[in-house]
Amino acid sequence: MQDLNRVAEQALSSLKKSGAGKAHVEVGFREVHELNVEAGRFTLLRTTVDQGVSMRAITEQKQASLSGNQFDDAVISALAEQTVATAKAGAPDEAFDIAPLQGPKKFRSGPEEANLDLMTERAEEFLNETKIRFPKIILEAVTIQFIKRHRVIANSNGVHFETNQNDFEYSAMFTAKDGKKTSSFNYTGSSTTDFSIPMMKAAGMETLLEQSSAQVNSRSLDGKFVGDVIITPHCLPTFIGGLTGHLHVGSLLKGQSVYQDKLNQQIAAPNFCLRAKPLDERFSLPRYVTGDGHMSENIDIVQNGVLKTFMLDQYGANKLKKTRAKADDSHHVIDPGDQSFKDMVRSVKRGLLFCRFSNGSPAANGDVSGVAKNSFYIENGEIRFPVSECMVSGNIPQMFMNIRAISKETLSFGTSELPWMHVGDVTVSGK
Amino acid sequence: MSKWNLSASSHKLSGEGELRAHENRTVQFQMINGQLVGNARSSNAGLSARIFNKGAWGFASVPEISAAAADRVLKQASTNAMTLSKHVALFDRPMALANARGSKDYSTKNRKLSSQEIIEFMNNLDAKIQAKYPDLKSRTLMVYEQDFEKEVLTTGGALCYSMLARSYVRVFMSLDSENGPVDVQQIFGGIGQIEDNLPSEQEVERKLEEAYGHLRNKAKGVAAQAGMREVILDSKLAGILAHEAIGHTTEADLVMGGSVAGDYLGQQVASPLVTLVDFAHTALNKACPLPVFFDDEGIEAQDTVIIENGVLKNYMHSRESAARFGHKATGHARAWGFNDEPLIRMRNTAILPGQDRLEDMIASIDDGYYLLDHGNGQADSTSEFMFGVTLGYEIKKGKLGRALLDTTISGVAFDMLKTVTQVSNEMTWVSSGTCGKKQPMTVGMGGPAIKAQVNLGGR
Repeated sequence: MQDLNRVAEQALSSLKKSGAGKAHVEVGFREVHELNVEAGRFTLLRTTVDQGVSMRAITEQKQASLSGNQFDDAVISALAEQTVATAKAGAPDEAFDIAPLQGPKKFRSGPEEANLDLMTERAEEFLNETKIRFPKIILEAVTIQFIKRHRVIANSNGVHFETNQNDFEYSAMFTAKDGKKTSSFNYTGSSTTDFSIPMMKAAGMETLLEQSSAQVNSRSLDGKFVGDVIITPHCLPTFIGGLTGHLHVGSLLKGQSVYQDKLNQQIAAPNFCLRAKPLDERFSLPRYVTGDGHMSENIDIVQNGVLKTFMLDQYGANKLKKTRAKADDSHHVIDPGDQSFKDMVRSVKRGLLFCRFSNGSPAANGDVSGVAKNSFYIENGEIRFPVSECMVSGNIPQMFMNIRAISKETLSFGTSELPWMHVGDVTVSGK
Repeated sequence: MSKWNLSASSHKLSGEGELRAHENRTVQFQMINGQLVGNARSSNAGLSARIFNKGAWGFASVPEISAAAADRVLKQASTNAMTLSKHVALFDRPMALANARGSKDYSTKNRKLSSQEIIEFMNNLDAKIQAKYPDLKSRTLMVYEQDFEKEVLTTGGALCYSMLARSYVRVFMSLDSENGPVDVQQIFGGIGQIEDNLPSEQEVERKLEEAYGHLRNKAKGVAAQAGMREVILDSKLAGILAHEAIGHTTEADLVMGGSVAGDYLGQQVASPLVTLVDFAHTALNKACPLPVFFDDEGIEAQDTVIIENGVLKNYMHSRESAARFGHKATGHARAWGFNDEPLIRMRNTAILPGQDRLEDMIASIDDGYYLLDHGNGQADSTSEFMFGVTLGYEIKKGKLGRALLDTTISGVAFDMLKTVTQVSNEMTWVSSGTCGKKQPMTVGMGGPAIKAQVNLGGR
């Protein structure tokens, strides 16, 4: 492996020599050991190595970013020259900037080396248990990785961070088949630093396999009704993305955000708290440094339903003259609520246990519709049967205002922790 | 012409496997309301090897293309294959001989444009849009190019070089409306580098005028009525239907993973009006939008008829899946980056045109929708599909009515295709999308307009 600090130094000095007024570089190395299962059997073992250098130059308040994966001195110098030349061809913007002096600081997380024996053991245990306990399940694709990452972030203001972060990551995608009856596919996965918990016992895997086995007998609903949905932790990221997408610079700059003037105002029910916790010790892969080179902090995005921050990076904050978010839009945690999942189901008169959403991109006003996949019909407080060909329509900002309850239980996916969320007044339509 | 001379490493290959030198390059500019906010280029290159041993594959890659790198990846891939082979059942049925040879280069023959020239083009285009359509709430312009340069060498004797490039100009326009901002997009470009695909002033003027007309209509648009409806899916939607709803279910790896298509081979799965083909490089005597002449396993790419007159005829295969099914390999295994293994992927998937005129099809509907453009799309092992619809109109008593706000459609493709009663006599292709399946992939999608029953989301 190359000395990343040396490459970063060379990149910075080449950028300055080429005429960059301000320069930011990131140099990375990544080694992946990956075990693959297809249709329930081992198919492929991969070992991949990659490296990369990305350079951002600001000159005369014009900016460009270039990246490559070759570290020869001549290539680095040429890339730096090209970055500055490309920046000079750009348009000036007072908002372009780099992070102020921070560090030097080193961060480390996760185990040092891959443990292929442990990965194989966990995979075999999962394949065998699935075969015995869930005979209708076909494991379409299972991927188990050990990822080793080394990164250096530096800039011409003196910022210098170095991170060494390794973890195991896994995912399983599966379908149930019973004769000619087929379920929708479903998937889940997580990351971990020690792989001490079997795959079956994490990320809701067992529940999803059980649900998929039942879903070979799904039924369509007749007609259309306005009812409640209980959004599962697996399905929730779609809706979180629908909310935070309106807090980013692109949406705000176009004037299209539904939250344009809503800072410190109520945008969700008072029991809803959404946080970005990149430094949460429970997570397997902390994010110590933001994408634009600032030390991360845990932040509140929505506190008791009130919007506490836009998710702006340094450029977005400068451009819109607002405050920069001290974390990237990741590592989401929704605070647990005060109702058990069972009580939540009991409180639904008519609706869905909403487990996966195959949806169209939400419209600018937050309207969204799509198919409720792997989901179950609920009536008079009981989960009745799995549904197929069932569409859900609603407005994402309105759905957050219509939260009825949040579960006490949460699920961890390694870099996020989410509860079940009961939302009212959603349109459900069958055939 | 390859710059890597991979053939010099041919003596190092043994058993069953391949070496691939591979470099991806991107260029991307983005402008919002006249301000350049994105100005980026990237390049990612490396060498990979993949080796098969008794039923298991080993793969290795490094970010270096050299004889020494070839030694390293071949050794690691062999070790990986051997390690994994202890955990798999023996599979020794012979796979198709990977012996395609050829060279295809879509590099521009025009003078390369500088970043400054491309930004000037964007500035001029943005100024024209602003002057002509001053009521727009926002304007977003993107110019981007993706180059995929590869050389594949196999133990079967294949030596294939390709430099596939695609580039596009995308224009997004939005207007305020009672329902909040609404937007439309127009895309220019296709195969080739930016120098080959910057649109002429006349083309821009014509297509943007058309898009702006749709945008004005959409600003006064209405929500679709949710439920089962009779619709005409225009060619872009027929294309994504061919790709997402049928194409994916007939990829052999997904068939082995439980796709419903596994039960339907040789059966009537669609109206006899429907024929669906995954073309390699030439369709109906014209070049496909993203031609593929050989795949990353060194197999010559050939057309695959998926559905013929409504009957499911074939799956798409890699060499291994073809051997497992006893079918023919027709060149579907492709990898996105140098550190990716080849997966079964579609190339240019299309429903073939029929005999009907679009005007007659619209006139035949009493109460339904004409759906013209799509956003994202997803498929399922059951063939249930979902597409975002970003442009559409009501049809009332055979005539187009009000525009629709964004909505989605869904259905079970193998049921829905049986409801097809008309297929238009003209087809178009799109190629700007990127298919997702462990890795991204460039794909072409095409089709005529079709009349069928689908489930609409909406209020």
